[in-house]
Amino acid sequence: MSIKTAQKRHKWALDYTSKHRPDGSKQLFQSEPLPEPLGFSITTFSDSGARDNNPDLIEKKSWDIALGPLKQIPMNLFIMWMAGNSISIFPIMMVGMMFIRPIQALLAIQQTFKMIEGANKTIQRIVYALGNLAGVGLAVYKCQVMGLLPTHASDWLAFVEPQKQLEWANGGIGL
Amino acid sequence: MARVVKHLPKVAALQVMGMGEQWLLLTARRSDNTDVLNVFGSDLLTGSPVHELSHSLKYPIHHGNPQRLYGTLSKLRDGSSGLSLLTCGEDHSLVLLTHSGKALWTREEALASILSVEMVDLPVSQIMAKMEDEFGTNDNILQMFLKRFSTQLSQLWTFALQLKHRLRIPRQHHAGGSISETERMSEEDSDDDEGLDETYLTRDEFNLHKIIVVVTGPGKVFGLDSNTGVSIWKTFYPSLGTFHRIDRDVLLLFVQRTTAHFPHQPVCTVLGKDKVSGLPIMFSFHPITGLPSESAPSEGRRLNYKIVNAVMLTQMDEHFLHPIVVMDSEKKFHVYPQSDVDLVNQFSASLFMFTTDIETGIITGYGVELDKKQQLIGNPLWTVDTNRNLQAITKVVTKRALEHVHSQGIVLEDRSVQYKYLNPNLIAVLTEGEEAQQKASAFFSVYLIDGVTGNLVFHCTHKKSKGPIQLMHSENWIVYNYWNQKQRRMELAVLELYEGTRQSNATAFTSFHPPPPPIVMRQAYIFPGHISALATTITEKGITSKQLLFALETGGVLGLPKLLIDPRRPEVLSQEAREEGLVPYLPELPRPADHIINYHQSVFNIHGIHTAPAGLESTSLVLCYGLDLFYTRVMPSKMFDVLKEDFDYFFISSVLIGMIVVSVITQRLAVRKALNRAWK
Repeated sequence: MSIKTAQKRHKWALDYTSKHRPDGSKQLFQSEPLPEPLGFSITTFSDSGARDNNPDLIEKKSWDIALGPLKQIPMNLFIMWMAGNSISIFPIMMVGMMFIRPIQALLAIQQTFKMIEGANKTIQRIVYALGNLAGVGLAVYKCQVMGLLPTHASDWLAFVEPQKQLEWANGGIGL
Repeated sequence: MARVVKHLPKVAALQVMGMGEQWLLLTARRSDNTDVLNVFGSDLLTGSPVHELSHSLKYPIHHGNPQRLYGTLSKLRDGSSGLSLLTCGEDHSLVLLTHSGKALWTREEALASILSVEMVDLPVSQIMAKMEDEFGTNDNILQMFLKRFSTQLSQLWTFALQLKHRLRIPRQHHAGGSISETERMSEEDSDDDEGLDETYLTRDEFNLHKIIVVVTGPGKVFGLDSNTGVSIWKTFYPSLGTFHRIDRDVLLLFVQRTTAHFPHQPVCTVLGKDKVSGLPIMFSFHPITGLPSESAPSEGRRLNYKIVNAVMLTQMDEHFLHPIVVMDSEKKFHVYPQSDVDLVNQFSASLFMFTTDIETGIITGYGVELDKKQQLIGNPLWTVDTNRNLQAITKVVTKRALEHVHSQGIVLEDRSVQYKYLNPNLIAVLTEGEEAQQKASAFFSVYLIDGVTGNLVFHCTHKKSKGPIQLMHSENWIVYNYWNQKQRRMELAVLELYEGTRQSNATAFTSFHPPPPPIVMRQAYIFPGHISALATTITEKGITSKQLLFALETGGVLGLPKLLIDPRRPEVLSQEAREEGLVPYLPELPRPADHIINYHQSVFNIHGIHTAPAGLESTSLVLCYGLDLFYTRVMPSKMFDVLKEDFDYFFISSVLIGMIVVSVITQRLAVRKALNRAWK
């Protein structure tokens, strides 16, 4: 508000917005603001309806978080099927991703647990943890199908020690 | 009737030659164990001396006594005649001596009758020995620190000297400029001007430079330098004769201690038969200098009993010496050096020895035991009678002691393992015979016998096949070649032994609780050409794939990879076989010209091929000996453990350092930029 307009006070100007009276005399006290129109109340509506639904919504949200990993599994299955069984860069990348996501979720599990509240929080937490473990299990199964897991004897062949010799027999044709 | 005209005592050799109408007698005599040979010429009928023929010539003592003389007189510039004398020495050497006393040339023809070969590592340099010495002693911390400090200072000093030496060399090079990467990386020392200074006979980086100790038929021992083939030292043992085994002469050479145990000196021992008495005689010497070993007498240790077998144990005593155990004809065992008897007594329960009697065709196995007088005696445990009436034993082959098998099995297509049957005491016995009824009906048999229990593991007979047969026994396979009389071609057969998909005993192999009889896989191929010797490459850890070396009679030495001589080669290539990497079966073995390891040099009449491991895992050293000598390095799997010569050290290191510097700088800049933006 510039100072000029405040100084230029016409005698007959009607100013409904300023705190001063129309005839230019200052008031000693704040006048009341303009009266409200009929039927209008200024008080804001508090969300009383939401307050009633709060526990329900928290419950819903917590279930969403808990079931999140389990919902990922069918998508991962499809990605796995697309990636194929050969050992090349794309399947390995997919397997790596499938591994890392649940493991990161497992590592950040404390924070997620804070977000889960409500009545069934223990069950929801267990379900969340199990869902992540299922994700890891799926990645391991994919590794097994691709042949990367050392389950066969030939994978441990490099660690087989040579047999210790217990007897020594020497000789040859007589001299 | 002949009558004695003249008695010539102590004369080693003589020659009757004619000079004009005169008949002259030329005699040569070595004067009392010195280098001087006294040559004396006289008239044959009158005995009067002829001065032009009488000289004292320098004839080194390692040639022994001259055995034949061929002298000629030639007219010199000043009118007199000069004598040229060609002497054949006791050591099969040919020396042309001139009247001036010098030898114009020398040919060591003993190298044409090499009987035993061993390749000995060179000792580490003094600096390295000092460094290794510090780990052996138990000084206190301060002394160890001072020792380390002093050795590293001397290392720095020698490095500076080497740098200076290398910077001097380009001046001697022609239009080459600076030392290239290849020279810096090559393992040869560049100061072999004289060939015998301090640094030449020390171990190089990859332990490829070896001394080849060679024992020859006339009793002369040479130490050859593997880089040049020049003999660094020669020793002649006049009393050393050879043992006779079937149709070959044998002299046993043992490396009792290698150069790996500083400060103990390395020791090599030769075991032969005394020429005079027929009893065994043993000489011990230092393989790098050729001088006799300190503890052994220089005229040789004579044994006063006939020996049947001599073996060097794989166990070492506290001075890192491998004792030699000798079995005499009365089945008693003797240990050399004598001080190691206690060690052998300790091990006697697990020591066994077997001998083969060719005349009776019986192989007997003995266990080493202590009798009541605490002497080692052989207790006969088993015999194998090969029926001398039908067939005669021609070869008894065991595995080499220093062979190391790396992988215990073969990986099959379904990811299971076929474990190898690795019996360290397996003997391959080859017997040949003829069926009298038909002609062209020679046959031979191969028996695989366990050396400890006499258990016959496998046996096969090839009918209508004839020798001479070369047999190679290594790891879990045996390869042999023979002449197929019916098809009139040379064939090569291979036997491989497997335990199966389960190892019966994973920790130890004992012949007293043996694994079940092995699965034997066999295959035969047609070999293009005749083989005079057969060998396989050997490496320190056994990781490199093996290559079989065949000495062909056409003068080439062929190296075929073991993959081609694999009994699992299938006739029809299936998916599984392709995954396992098997080559399909073809009856003919190829003879590719680029697998001939001696390129265009031909070597004929090869009697044997000796292979030795080098410091590098990818390399095996090969010496073919016979009439000709050929030495080379073979890399069966290419040189996988050495960087190639044009490896760009400079480029890679500069890029790496540049990247690091750039990343540090950009990190700082990024931090500064973020800070500035936050202040805006």
